[in-house]
Amino acid sequence: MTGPLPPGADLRAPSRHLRPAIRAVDLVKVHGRGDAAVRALDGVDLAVPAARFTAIMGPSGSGKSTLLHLLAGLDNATSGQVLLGDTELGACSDAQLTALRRDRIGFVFQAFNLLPQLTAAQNIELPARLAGRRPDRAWRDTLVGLLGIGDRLTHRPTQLSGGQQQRVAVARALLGRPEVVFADEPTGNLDTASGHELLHLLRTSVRELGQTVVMVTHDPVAASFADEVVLLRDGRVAGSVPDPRPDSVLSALSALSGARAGI
Amino acid sequence: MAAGAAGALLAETRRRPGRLLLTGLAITVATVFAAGTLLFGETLRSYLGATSVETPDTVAAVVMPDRLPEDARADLDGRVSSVDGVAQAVELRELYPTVGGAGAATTWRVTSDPMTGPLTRLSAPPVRGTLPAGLDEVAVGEGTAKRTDLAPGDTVTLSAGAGAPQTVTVTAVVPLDDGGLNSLVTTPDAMSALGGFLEQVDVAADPGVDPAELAARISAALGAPDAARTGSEQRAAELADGSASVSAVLVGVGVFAALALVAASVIVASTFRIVLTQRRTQMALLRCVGARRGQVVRAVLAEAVVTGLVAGALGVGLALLAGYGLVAAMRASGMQDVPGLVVWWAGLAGVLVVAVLATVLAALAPALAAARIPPVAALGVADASDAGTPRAGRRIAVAAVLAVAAGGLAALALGVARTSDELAMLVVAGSGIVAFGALIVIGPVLVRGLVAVAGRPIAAIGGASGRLAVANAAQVPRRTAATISVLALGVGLTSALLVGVSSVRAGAEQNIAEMFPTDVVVATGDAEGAAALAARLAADPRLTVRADGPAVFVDPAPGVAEDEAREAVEQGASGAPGALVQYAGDVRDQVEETLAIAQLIGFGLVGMTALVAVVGVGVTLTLSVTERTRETGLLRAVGLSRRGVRSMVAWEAALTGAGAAVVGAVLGAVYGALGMQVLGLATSLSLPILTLTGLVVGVVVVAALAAMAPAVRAGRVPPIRALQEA
Ligand SMILES: Nc1ncnc2c1ncn2[C@@H]1O[C@H](COP(=O)(O)OP(=O)(O)O)[C@@H](O)[C@H]1O
Ligand SMILES: [Mg+2]
Repeated sequence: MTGPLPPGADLRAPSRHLRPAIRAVDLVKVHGRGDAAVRALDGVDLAVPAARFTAIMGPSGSGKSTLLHLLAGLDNATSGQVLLGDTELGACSDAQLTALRRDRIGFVFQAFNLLPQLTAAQNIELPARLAGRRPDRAWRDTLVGLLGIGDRLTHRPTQLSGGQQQRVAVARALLGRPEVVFADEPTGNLDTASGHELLHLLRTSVRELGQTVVMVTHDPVAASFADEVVLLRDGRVAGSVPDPRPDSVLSALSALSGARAGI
Repeated sequence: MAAGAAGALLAETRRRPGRLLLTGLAITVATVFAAGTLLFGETLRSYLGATSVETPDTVAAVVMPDRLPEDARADLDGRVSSVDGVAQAVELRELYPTVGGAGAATTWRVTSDPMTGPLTRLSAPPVRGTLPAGLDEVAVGEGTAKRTDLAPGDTVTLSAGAGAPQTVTVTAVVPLDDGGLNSLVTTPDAMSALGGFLEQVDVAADPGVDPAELAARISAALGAPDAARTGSEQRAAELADGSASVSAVLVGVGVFAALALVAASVIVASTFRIVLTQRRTQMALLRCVGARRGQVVRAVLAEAVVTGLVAGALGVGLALLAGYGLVAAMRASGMQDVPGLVVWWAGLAGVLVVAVLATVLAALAPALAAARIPPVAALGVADASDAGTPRAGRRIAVAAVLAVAAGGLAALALGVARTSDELAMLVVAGSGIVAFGALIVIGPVLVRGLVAVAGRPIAAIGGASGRLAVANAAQVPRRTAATISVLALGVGLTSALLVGVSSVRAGAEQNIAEMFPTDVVVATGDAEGAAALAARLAADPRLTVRADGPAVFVDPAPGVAEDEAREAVEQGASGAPGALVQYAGDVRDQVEETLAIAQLIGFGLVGMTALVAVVGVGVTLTLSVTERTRETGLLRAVGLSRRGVRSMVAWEAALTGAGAAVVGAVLGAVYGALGMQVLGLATSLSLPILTLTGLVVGVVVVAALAAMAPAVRAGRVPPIRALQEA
């Protein structure tokens, strides 16, 4: 667990100096079998630093979502390892993985983040309830205030806008102070303004709360909110962009597709 | 283009035939019962056709005494014998006495028979012994001998009406088709002495005499124009009687089969709504590309026809299979006399048509709702089906009107009860159906109350899974309500049956208590005989004895076991001819046995609806689970365990079951009590609280078990499904 950071600490220190929150070692994932087999990940090595905002980018079909699913313990690798802290996910039983997702990982998806039969507040407290714990109300109120959804807690998801739904999902992801929060195209279904608001919130959680966030996106502007961008191509890590800005990300991406076109 | 819209939907059905089967499963179950009833009925009809004809072919004409004035019935056989062309005339008498001396005292059937000659109904010479001839001699039927261990030389004591009990000796065991009722045969003379009721006079004709002419001549001789008819007319009438009694049974069973079909329709309506909402986008797309509303409705109804046909045909097929299988199994297990299955194809086709009609009717409302889906929905994300709060005000108003109507009918039934029991029961049934309608209307509103009441305890016991289950049930109040209503119907029928059985038992208990002031009652011919017998019995220290008129009342002495007392009475009374010993315990056992059989038949009948209801719980949950795949994936992703998912589904079923059980048990008890009141059995009305509580618990458990398959299915949903398209 990453403690609160001392004020004035250099949060922008190069990632290699920080302890990784989660690591992938020679990660391979083959979808399907026989003729239909697709090698979605082809030996990914990656260390995600703690208390940083990491974006994963790459062309469509490069394996971003697959990588995220494996890192988050939502799916099993074909070979290779995923290490969350000292825990190797491949060695965990289904029950252990369930507990791990509940207690040590948070999620924000592109869509369908919330259970329609529960209110916003119930959705936020769901993982704690599932663990049979009393949710930390003070921390919840802090998060709810930070995310600006205090007046929406008794509403059901269908009564909320897309942006509000995503913020409820972020509150749920952060409530358990997980080691890593994973987000798969979290702004994919939002208008530009709401999308930027959400990205600000994610960055705030990293800067002010010391949260580790890993986000998959194909939008260079979204990626520019991160501390570092990891580039994927054909199921392998093809480089990274530290301190990304939209133009630097864009040129790295076009270099990536150019290199690919050149093969 | 209608074909186009229908084609598009049916293509979807072909792609997922399993869903069609699931939607129609309730109809299949109900059809199995309906077709099974028909097969059973027709087979029984043809079987009884053979056995209900009792008058032998040798009988050329019969005289029916009930067509003669009462004072003209004396010496009928003698008067008929003297008619020209009559070879022989024999009176057929019947008596249903209480018989002691061969196990428990029970009601037997005694018939008269000439024993020899053309008019005897004995199909073969005695199996053992010699045919009875004297006034105190009888033959016992083969089946009866087997059941009671009676053999030639034994005595039995008969008591019928007010006359003194009479002891007779068994001289023979004869082949006799007794249909399970203990039977004795005696000569016409002996029967006259016993006071048997004159049923008919069988007449054999001289060679070459025309039966019709003979019958006319006999009628003329007796002075009543229609006193006699020919033997073949008599046999045809007996056949028709047998068939009519089967028809009466069929109508009774058919009512319950129809109830099961109604229950199935409610389930199918609910499942159609779920399936159609799941295909909301598809429907909207059809509308986008130009399908008119009518076309969407017709497309859905076409699918309903296919569903009904497939489900119905499956049900009929299963019933046939079960019928043939049962006959084969019974024959294989050595039961002779098992009739072949009679298949009335036109009737089965009728059942199929009804199944299709029921499905189409059930699909009508969901089809109209589907047609109202706006084209723009094709672009949006589908909401959960049946979601949203019901329009409580309107539902409460309609349900109130129905409830008042049901109450009015109930009051009417109580009023009518004085004139006709049958009519009154019919009105009670009508009231019950209206009450069921009220339940269906108010259901979604009740679900909110149920969730409020049961939510807390379930969350307390079931933890997070229980809490989620309550939220799931509350999210789709209409669906939950449909399942609850149908299950409540099954529970209601069962609890009404239980109240009925318990009340009849209490009534019988009262009667037995009145009939038997003591454990044993011995009926003798007169007070002197009674006093003598009492004196003899009192000599035994194991008995407490008191004589009162022609009866002796006996109790076991304090501390003496019932068996021992019985032995003492049997020893003491053995040498006393004309003493009929009756034990309260025997009568009680007999009542219990009869009630057990009645209860079993009753359970078979209401079981049809109950099974449809349980299937409904399973099917509805399976569809819900399919619909909630992504939600389940999300729950798994944020940390609900596989077991947690499974128990969430089971809790939802248990909640449904609890709601249905309580509503059903209460309504059923009320209607059971009403039925008893109407039948004039209210004095012994008894609410079997313990059994009803057991029923409620049982229903909750069965509902949870019905959720097993969908629960396992839900547990298999991988967490990654939260991120994938539906
Ligand atoms: N469940 C699956 N079955 C088969 N192939 C899959 C599956 N999921 C992803 N793939 C394939 O794996 C590759 C990587 O997919 P994905 O990780 O979704 O890429 P990205 O998110 O970068 O677009 C693609 O070629 C995709 O078609
Ligand atoms: Mg993707």
